[in-house]
Amino acid sequence: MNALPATQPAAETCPPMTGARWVVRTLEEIGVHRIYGYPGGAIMPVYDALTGSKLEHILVRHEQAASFAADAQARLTGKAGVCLATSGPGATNLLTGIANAFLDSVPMVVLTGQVPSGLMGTDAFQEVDVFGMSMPVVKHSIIIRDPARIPELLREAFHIAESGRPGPVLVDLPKDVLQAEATSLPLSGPRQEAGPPSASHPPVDAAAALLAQAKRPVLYIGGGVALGGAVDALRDFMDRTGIVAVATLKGIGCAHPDAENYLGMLGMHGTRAANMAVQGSDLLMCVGARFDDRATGRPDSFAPDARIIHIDGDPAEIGKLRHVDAAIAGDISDALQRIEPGYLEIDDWRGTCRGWAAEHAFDYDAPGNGVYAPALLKQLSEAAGDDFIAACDVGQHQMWVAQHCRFARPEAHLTSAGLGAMGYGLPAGIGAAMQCPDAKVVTVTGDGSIMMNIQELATARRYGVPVRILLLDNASLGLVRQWQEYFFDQNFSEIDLYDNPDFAEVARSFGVEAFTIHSRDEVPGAIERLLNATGPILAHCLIDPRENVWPLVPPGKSNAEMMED
Amino acid sequence: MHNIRIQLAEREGALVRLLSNIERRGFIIESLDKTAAQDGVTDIAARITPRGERSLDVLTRQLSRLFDVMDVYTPMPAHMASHAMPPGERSCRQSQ
Repeated sequence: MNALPATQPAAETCPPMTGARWVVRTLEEIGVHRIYGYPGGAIMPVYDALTGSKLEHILVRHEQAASFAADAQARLTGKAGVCLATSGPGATNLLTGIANAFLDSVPMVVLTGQVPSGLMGTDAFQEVDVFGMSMPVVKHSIIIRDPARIPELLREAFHIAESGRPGPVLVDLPKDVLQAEATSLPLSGPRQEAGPPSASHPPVDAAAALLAQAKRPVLYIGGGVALGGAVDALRDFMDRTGIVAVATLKGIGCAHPDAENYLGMLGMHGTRAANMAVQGSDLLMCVGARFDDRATGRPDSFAPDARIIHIDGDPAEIGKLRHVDAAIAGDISDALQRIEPGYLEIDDWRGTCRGWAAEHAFDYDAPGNGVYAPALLKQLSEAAGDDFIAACDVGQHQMWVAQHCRFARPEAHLTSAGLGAMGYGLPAGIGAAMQCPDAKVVTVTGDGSIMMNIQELATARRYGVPVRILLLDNASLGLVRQWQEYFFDQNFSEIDLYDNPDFAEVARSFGVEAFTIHSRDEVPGAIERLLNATGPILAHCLIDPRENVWPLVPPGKSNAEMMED
Repeated sequence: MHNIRIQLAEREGALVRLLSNIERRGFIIESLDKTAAQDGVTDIAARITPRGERSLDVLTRQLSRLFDVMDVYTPMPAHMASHAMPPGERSCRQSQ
């Protein structure tokens, strides 16, 4: 919800330029330095204007990769990533990336070419109504009809994308608007969206009182903590109170990984200790999370005895899926600093939870000589240290990363959490490595996921991007196979990828260094080779196709009903 | 059945975005009125029914965060709403 436009006087007198040049100039003025895209008919005026600009354009090989790479850059910087494509198929190829950014609240500005205004609505060549198609998965969208308004509306798009709860904003640019010349531009300031309000006293006091009374409180950390810039406040709150904590997939990295009362991820593939603590809690303090079904399991049996404190930057999340006893909608960091229940007198509860964590700690001593993926991922992240950034694909390997890798900060864990989009890993790794070339960026992928955007090896090669690709190959769609094994009577349907190509040969054919490992004794050398690489490199790692992700809460079941191997 | 009234900035796509959000969040639009825009602002009045257990309060907050939405008024007893909301100059129902 926004105030009416604020009228700002800053009208500029400029020489006439085409709309396309205004697009490029405005992006430069906003401070954008890199955009990901792919040219085509309707967007060609912008590509023409890009020549000689300060913008670094990264040519991907599929528009979806442009959106994923821009998404990764945005997650690392907190600033809107920018992707660019033409009308029709270019625009539709961006939709998955837009949905990904929407479901994970990632700031992004998506620029799409459109057929000329006079042809819009006539089913013209390469015309689709991307404004309409994207509407359910954007924070906002605009069709710019007047070249003179390009600077104003582009600035507005960035402001909307980055403010409040971030999200993607689509800007559709008809070709005639890009080609028309505009002279003087009325430039108004961005509409002012109210920032998150400070937490008022009554709910803060109510939350503190609930905490002080609770005998088995648990802190339930979500991605909103990082979005709200509240990681330091959260860690301080955990230290001050000694509260037991769990995290969602997007909340990983918010708590210090070595915090003594942190039990790891909850939910479908969460740790047994995390789920036991939540199920046994009498107070759940949810911070920046949304009671997603992958975290809660069957909602009516989730934390059944718990009263709820819900703190979120987005008021619309409060009470959406669970009745709350104390709600704070506003600045998460401010709220956490103001809630002062003192050090909680819950020694027995802390002891119980730590006991569960010790009793159910992951066992990395797997039988055999094959590569055990959880152990490999643990060793890899520990060897990379605080410079580690993982760009995950989707499947078993994604859950193993969440379970076994160590993340010192939430931004370092790039994962398609809400959408679960296979194909995210490689372009996200490229976006991350371009943004943070000195970090140890590792794309962790599978033999299913890599094939969804394998063409981006060409992008990695072209720009010499230092992305390390760890491809865990079980010759199948492992997570689907695991579900078929346990929930579909072992009716294995269309999951066998026995005829995969030789991925190392594929990578080499793109000009990317690659090697293959088969056994456990090759793991240390592989980790060293990956982390020491200065350009793109792919480690093709063969793993046991029977390996599963444990623990597992069966779909539709309570988090209390976890399955183990 | 709930009455809901929304003050909306009259921009391209704003009405469709609003209505699709109401439906997507689990409400059936039973009836709908829209005023002509004045100073770039239009009033929408709708009677909506939840599919299953969906909270009107949550919907109100979900609509409020849309960029085009300037204000949302609800809940209001039906007899009051019918007086509070003047009939629009253009009614979507009447025009069909």
